[in-house]
Amino acid sequence: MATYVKYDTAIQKLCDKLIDAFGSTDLWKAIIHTDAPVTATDSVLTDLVQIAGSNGYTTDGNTITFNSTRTGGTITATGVDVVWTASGGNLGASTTGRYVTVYDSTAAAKDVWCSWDYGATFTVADTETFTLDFGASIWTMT
Amino acid sequence: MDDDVRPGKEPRPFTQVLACKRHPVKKLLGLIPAKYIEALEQNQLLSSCCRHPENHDIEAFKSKPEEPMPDIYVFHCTCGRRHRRFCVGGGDVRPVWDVR
Repeated sequence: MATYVKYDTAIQKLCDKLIDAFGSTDLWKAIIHTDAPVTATDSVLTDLVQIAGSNGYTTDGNTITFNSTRTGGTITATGVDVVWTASGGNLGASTTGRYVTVYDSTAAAKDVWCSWDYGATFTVADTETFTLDFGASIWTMT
Repeated sequence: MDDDVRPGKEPRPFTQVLACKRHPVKKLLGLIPAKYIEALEQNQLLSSCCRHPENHDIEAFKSKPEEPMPDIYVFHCTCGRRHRRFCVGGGDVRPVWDVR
């Protein structure tokens, strides 16, 4: 899987009860952004530069059907794949999307949790798709 | 460097590498996970040709060379459109193939 990079502040916010990562209480979302994540200092959604909210991309991203469960001492988070379909032009009017970040949208500050690097910029042209595939689990935590 | 760019936010070098060469989907149907196929077939926002995966080619990439398996799959329709799948989760099957 692509390299999972957790933002440094995520675990603190979990302990501060700003992020609820257990079960499906909070609404989680995924965004596409153009700027490299700085895990040491990026903390909230506004620290990132999303592609524009147009042509099939909604500003602040798409909702993830998210859940997490515990087995023994391990929490496993799962999610239904997120699909963006461009409509009327390039998704987000962008040719420079590269990174994907998942965040807790219920949290007041919209705190970021983790990101992945696509390894190159990408363009999703009209009626093309970009699917974020969460596999069997998004992340595990012990 | 642009003064407006915060430290660490500068554009990074591309790291993506080709993992499996472009190949017709119809020759890999037993290998490609069903959900990849169904996602195209069932997306009503796509053009009709794009909803027929057997008309596509597929190629696979790694987001960076150190990845043990491909994590990016690109479907190329005969119309020229591309459908990308970025595999960020764990515990799933990642198809690989070798084109000779």
